[in-house]
Amino acid sequence: MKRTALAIGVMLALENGAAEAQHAPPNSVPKTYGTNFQTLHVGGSAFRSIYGFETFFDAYFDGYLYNWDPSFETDVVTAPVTLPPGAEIHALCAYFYDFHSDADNTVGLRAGRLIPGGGQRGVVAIGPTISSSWDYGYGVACADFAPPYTYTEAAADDGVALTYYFLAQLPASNAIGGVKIIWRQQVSPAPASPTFSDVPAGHPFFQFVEALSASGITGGCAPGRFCPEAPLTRGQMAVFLAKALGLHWPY
Amino acid sequence: MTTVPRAGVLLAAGVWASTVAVGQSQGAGAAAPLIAESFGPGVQELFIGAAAFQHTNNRSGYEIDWTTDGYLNYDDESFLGVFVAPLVLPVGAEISMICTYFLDTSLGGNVTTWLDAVRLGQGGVSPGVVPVFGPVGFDTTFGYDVACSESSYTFRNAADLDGDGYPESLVHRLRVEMSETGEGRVALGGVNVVWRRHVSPAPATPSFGDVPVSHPFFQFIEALAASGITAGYGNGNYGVNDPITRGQMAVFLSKALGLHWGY
Repeated sequence: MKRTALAIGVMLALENGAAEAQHAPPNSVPKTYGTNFQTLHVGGSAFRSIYGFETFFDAYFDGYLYNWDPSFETDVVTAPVTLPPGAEIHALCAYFYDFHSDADNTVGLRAGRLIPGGGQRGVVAIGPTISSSWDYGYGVACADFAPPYTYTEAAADDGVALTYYFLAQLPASNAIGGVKIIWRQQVSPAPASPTFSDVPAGHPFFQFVEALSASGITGGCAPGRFCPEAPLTRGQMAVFLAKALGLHWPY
Repeated sequence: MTTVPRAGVLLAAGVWASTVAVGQSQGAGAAAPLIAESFGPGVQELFIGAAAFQHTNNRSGYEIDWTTDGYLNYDDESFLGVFVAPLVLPVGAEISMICTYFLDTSLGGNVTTWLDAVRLGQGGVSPGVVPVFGPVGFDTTFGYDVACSESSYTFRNAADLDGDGYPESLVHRLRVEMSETGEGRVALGGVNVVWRRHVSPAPATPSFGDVPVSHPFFQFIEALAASGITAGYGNGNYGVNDPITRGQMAVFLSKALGLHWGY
């Protein structure tokens, strides 16, 4: 009974074109720090069919998600993606199994708009679509974002909240092993007007001091001042670090 | 690999005693985020709730698995139930213990957990699965329980698992196998992963003239440089003994954490 209700719910949702990423587990960012390139691997076990239990026969085997649908329909699978705001995405690599000479797998990043209180839903395709252009075997295909895409949690034009996910098409007998995201952190852009009178917009550290202030790590050394040339004491460093990292809750 | 009975966990650390108590009463209410938000090199935990797991064989039409109170129940004596969930940790994270919260009221039934590294296929090479942690579990029939195992595994996105000299791209998944024998049932509450961060190993050659290999801070300054947080003074030196200004501190911190995007 529960199954049937779930399947009907999913089908109704699909008729309405609803968000496809609902039932899959999250793929949060691994917290590697600094501003150099890093990778996030979203494995095949993170993907789920948008069609629910009754329609498709999906199998997770050797870490890959296979479309073993007995009626040989193309499956559509999704996995949610979460990165820190400001993350700059440079490239994707998709690991596929392709059983066909003609029907290729595809995968791409999507941003779904989460609509409060009415309004129109919508999904935006971001960056390249990657295909398994080879025949009969396992392979990997990569594509660059040109230009790189800056991940934000709200749409730039109207502020609507976004939810990100990979959307992949799997022809029958094909599989997806995962998608690798190549990305890096950025320091946030400097604001138009300075917070501290002794760190004006032309100061070489302006962007960085503003980032610290915006994150609540510092309120300056005196009202309206940051004292950028003052030496840092070990005690002040302890405050900066503990606030910046939210240190330390043992469990 | 050693299997730790529950009493051992409770005695292992005061932190653990309270963690187990909370975990047993609350279980896995929702899909946990796949990364814990704690910092520093201390031990921390990531809890992957049962709602994050998927059945590897999507057999339709059978009332074989359903969730109640955060637990994923399994009641099919005909087949071994295999459930998987992705696991993502920072590169270099050291996993030291994995615990499984489960229910077992089936004589001969079992709930057993592994962490698998999946070597992705490419260039005509088929994929493969390498269990890197586990099995985690022990047989019981009296009800809800937790089983833990201790080992050490360093999480990487690429590694030369087959020893051919070339690293392969990896993804990781937790795999839980559930079986029951007809009477009673088994259930999964979730998997707790105990891990900690590592500072990356020092390279063979130094990046800065004033921080040679023998310097006590060598490993840490090289880690900062490799992360793009500092490039030194631009003259080949880091200025290892120079005092730091509040302004310079702002650059270090904001670059290290990618501060701060307001949305």
